[in-house]
Amino acid sequence: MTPKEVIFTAFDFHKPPRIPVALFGGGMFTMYNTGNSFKSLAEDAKGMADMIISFSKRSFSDIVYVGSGYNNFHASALGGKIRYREIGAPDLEEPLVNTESDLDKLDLERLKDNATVSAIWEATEMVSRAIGDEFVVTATAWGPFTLGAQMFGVEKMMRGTFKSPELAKKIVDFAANLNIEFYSHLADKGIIKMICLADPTASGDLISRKQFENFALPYLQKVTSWAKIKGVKVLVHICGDTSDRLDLFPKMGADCISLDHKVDIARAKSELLGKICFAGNVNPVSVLNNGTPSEVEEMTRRCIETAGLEGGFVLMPGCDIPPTVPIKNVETFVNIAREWKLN
Amino acid sequence: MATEEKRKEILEKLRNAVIHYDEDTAKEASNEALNVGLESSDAIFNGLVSGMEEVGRLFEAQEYFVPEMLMCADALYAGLDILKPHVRKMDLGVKGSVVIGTVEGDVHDIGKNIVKMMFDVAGFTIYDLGRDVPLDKFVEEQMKTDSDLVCLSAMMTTTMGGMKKVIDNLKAKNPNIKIMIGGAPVSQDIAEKWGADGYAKDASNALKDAINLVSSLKKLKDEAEAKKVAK
Repeated sequence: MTPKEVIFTAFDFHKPPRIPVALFGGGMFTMYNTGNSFKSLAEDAKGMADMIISFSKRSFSDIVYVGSGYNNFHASALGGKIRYREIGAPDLEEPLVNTESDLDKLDLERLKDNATVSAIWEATEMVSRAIGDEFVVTATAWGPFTLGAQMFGVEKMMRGTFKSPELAKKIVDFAANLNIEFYSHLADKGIIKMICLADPTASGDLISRKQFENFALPYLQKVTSWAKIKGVKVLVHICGDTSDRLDLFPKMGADCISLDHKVDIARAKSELLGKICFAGNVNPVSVLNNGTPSEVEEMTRRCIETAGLEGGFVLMPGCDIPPTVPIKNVETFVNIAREWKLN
Repeated sequence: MATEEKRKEILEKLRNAVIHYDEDTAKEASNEALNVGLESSDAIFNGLVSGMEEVGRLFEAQEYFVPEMLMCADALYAGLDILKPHVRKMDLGVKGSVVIGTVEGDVHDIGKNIVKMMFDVAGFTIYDLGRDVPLDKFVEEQMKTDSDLVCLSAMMTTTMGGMKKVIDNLKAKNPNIKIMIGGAPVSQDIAEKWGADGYAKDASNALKDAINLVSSLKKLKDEAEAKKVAK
């Protein structure tokens, strides 16, 4: 089986011949290890594609993400300013929505005029053509609640869930449309078979289960319903401790939920096995970044033994990994899965 | 002077206004406190802050989350704005100064702002560098202000590595400086490994820890002074 088949077999709750393994995003890690910067590649589709294709030869992930780290361009394309920095991914200088009328003025059509967004689309097509038969090739985007919070300002979105819930919902709904607009350009042409959403602001460390149900879930569902019609799969990652809302994840309509290291993976398995493929959750900092290869091996084995022996599971770090993770540690992590036969 | 019964009633009202994030009641009860001649520091600490402590507990118990916490903070500030100008002295026994900020590459500052608010209420002098702060800036600002404590926040696994650099640089320049770190991906274990003196699990723990750290620092300074005098 190709890495792509291994991943999609797990998505269908079956047991692939080995443990599927993927990073999540990995934009900064890739830039750091290939000597590139977000700024230098921002409008260079070929450079972006070449970097991803050559890095994929090192086989760190069954899923290959194009444009990881550029998620804030989706909102900036509609009228926000991007700021580049030496450390960290580029982000929005200011929120672009303050009032309902600001929101009404935003035009989704402008997305395609953005040079970086176009470069990501083009690069994804090149990467897909080169290695799309072997790996799952996808792009990355913030999920609706996170994207909406970026557009509105995170604190304002947090307060908005109490003070102006209707506006907050309208903004998140718009963000879901922006997700769909972004991925339509890739899904309509059959360039990708899976879309990927990261919704860190919908984390259990930030909002309650009830707020998740009201302000995040319905809009994730909007995107997954669209994906279903288009015949593309959906991978969602939510950061932080989401133990109190695991039972809501199968309702999201996604094919796989990636969990943070703060979730007890045994508990996740007992709530999710057979209902939604789940991924996780080796600690990206304490273990992958700071641990020795033998510590990485121990924690990775423990994670697989606890969660992965029955299929329907993908080994992943609990979140995106820091750029400084030692290559030896990533190799250890990945090789354990690749050599772990399931039967 | 207000009767003890009236005092209790107003304090309870202030406390509940914060817990139930009710800005209007917080304002109303603060004005009432002034009208009946309640000591404003009493109203602040035994009313508003006592409410915020309960909010901290609810947050820890995962009954409250960040939106609730921000709403409660708004109610707290609504009351503080009225009461603070009338405070004669604000003294919790410890006076410290603190440099605080979110490290370079990271624009997440909600947690940092909540911690800052706790310090503010407790009477610390705060030098807030904001978010996405260049790593050297922490060292510069600490030297410039001679602050007792430096607090670093990071919300992303991809940016938190900057904390270690700041800790190393600060400790190299000033071995006695106390450093506390916090943020979603940070843990006690990482704080220890990277040489931080404190780990802020959440805002109330940050404040408790800060008071301890500053007290121990003052003690060190006093001991050093005593030695000098003895010589």
